[in-house]
Amino acid sequence: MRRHLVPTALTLTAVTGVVAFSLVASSPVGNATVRPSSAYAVSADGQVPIEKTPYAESLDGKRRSSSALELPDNPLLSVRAGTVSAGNDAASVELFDVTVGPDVLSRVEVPPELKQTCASLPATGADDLPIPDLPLPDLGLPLPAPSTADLPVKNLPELCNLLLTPPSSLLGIDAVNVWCTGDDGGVDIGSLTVLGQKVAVPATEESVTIPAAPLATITVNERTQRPDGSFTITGLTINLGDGAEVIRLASATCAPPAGKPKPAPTPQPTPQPTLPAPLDQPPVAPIPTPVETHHPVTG
Amino acid sequence: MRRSRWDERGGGSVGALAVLVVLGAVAVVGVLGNRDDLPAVDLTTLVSSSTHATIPDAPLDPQPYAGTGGVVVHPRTETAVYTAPDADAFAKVAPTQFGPTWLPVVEQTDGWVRVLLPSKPNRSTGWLPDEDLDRATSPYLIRVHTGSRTLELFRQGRRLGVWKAGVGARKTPTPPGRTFLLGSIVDDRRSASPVVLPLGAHSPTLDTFGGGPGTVAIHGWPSPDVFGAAISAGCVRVPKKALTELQKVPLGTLVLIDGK
Repeated sequence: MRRHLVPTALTLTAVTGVVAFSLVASSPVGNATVRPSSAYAVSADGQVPIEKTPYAESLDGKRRSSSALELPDNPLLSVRAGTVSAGNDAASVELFDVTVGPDVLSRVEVPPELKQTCASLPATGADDLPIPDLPLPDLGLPLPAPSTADLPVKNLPELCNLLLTPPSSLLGIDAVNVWCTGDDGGVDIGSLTVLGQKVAVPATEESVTIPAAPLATITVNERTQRPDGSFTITGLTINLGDGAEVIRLASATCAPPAGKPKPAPTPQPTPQPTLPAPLDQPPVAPIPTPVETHHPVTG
Repeated sequence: MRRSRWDERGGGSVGALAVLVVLGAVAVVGVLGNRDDLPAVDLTTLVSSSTHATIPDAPLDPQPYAGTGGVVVHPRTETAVYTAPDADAFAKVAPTQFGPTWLPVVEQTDGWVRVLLPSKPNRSTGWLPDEDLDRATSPYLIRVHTGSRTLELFRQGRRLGVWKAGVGARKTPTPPGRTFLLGSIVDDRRSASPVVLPLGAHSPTLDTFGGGPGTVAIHGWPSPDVFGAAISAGCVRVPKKALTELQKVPLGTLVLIDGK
């Protein structure tokens, strides 16, 4: 990564963060529910959605654990193992060997002319040669039209090295530990590699963003303290393709146990997991009347 | 395993934090500020947001895979569309498109709603003043999964059905993200599958198709071999039973397309 770009990139990601925060903060608030202590190792939104897995929650304060990691068959993310537990205002996650974009550059077909150029690079002076802007084939990742210009290399020899001896993944993380107790928590992260290069992780401070832009932004140690007293800490949030895919790794939520349920609870309305009801419910929209017309669609 | 150190990247972070503080303050001022009466807008100078239009200035959907509260709005008259609350008008929206125009609300603030728009590029949004709008709620949600090539229909969070669907081929994909049911039409020129439900999205690879703007739609198909295949030019082909159910879904209903 180019050193002089780091402050600029970090500033840009900070701006993005504020915009995102503003949008989130201005979203309508859903109905209040009892939030239990809970923990999950992996979840994702976007082109490859992944439900929280493994997932554990504790409404009554008794400790519950799970190691049942179930990832859908996908080309984007692999995880070797994850264990989660949740209990009395406490939760924790252990996660091992996370790979995002496995073999992503191994599948790039390097044009013969570039191979030839790479093979005949002069011993000195090659650092000043321009980096060719070549389109990369579909990497199986939700990134908009990637090209060699998107790769974090600063000269042609580095590009040759990256394409001819490709790293094993876009991102690799060997271990993540996250825990919370009450309204405090912590994150430990093992080594993080971006396209084979080790990146320093300031994991012990809150909400730090590591720019690996334009490929990804990685936010470490996000913390949320809610008015209902619950507290959530998330180890890493990986944003690929500017929101096209958002992967969350190792998230723990701490909350006091809920009170004992009443003997005869009143019936609850049908839950709407995907569509929280708005605060002022307008009338139900009408069933449309088909219109006879001609409009060519994509078939 | 080790604990990393904060000071490894301290210099850049100070600048970033300063920007955060400044922009945070701006955001707070923006939220707390009072809205003055809107200046008059000459609607004749604005492009109408429809499936035929391309409006590059439209702000893009910041959360293209998120759900909504189900609120949909219908402009009773031709209405200006703004880039942000109290900002500039960049387009207008008409009360009818194929039928009445109903747009899904993805965000709202005092006196304003942010809606998805039917014009190009995909994921276009705009803000409407919350006046002269009819409000309603769609209890439905349509999910299209291009990976498993299925379509799911939900009502009040309960799944009414899941069907195999024909989706876009690799070179002409069905665009991922959230869009909405724009119309319900019967097109007699399509003798084999005349019922067509145009969406607010367009093919990302075909600028035009069959003389149209590349509008993506949900419709039927006469032979069942296409269901469960990545075969179309972007549209979502569904079995007759699914189409019958989908015809009952209100316009403006959210359609979430992902690669699952």
